[in-house]
Amino acid sequence: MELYVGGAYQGKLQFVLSEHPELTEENVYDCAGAPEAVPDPSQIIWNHFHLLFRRLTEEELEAFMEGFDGIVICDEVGSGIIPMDKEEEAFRERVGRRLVMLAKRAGRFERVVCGIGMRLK
Amino acid sequence: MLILILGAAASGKSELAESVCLGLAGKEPSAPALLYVAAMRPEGEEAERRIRRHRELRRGKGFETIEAYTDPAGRVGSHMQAGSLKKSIVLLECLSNLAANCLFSEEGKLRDPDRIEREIRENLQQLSEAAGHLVLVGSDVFSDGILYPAETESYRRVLAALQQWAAKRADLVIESVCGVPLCLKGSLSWFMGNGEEA
Repeated sequence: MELYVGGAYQGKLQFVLSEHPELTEENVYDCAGAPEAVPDPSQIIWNHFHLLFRRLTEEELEAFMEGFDGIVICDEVGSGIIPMDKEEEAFRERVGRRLVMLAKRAGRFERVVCGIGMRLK
Repeated sequence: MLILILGAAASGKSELAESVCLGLAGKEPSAPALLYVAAMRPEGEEAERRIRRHRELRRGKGFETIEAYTDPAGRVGSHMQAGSLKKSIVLLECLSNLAANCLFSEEGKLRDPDRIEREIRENLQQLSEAAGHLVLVGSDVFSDGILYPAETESYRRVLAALQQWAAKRADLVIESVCGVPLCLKGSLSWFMGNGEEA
């Protein structure tokens, strides 16, 4: 599995597609989708991964991700002030913790800043 | 040469950008002119405090300051002859102010983001071709995980697109981490003075 993180609007998906010429937009699953939306087997790039946390509980996410061995693209969301709102605080915490887990598992892990990738693993 | 300097708020971007300019100047046989293009409007107490701080930082380094809130290429072009400009080092600070000045009208109304982005790109392209070297300072406002109101998100999108555009063309992209340069693209060795050429 591969993991790509970075701030919002940093060109992460474009970077992943340029690194994987065999993949196209058709292989992209947008996690912003409806709660019941599930990826097609060919959709091995999960884009906007952080948005999954808006619609799935931890248990649901576990089930959703079971056996997943594709490419995760996720916004880094932890560099602001701790949100006053409890739900927002939990969201940020869950995304961060999950990314640490995924980075451990990933065979390739990069951070994308301004369209430039930096391989961390 | 085109150089892009990124970093969070108060991460030492300006001082690093100035050092890069001085480093570039030091490599030229005849001392080139140093132009500081200020995009921040001196409105409000906080802006004035920042401007004072930046002026203090630049003091004695030999920069001439030109204020350009929306049209850096035009302002610099009318200030200096093309021949001298071609030998100058231009530091533009910063893209986040420039983008905000261009995107929002004086009444705070949002203009067409696609058109504004294109106009700024063309302006910067023109400036980069006219200057000897151009150093652009950007800003990281993308990693706090907050979804802002639509107008702010438009602004973030325009700024991100401009920075990616610049990064693609830049010879050197540096992220300032507490004032320490982290090289994202190109090589810093010429500037750090360890004798290696980029």
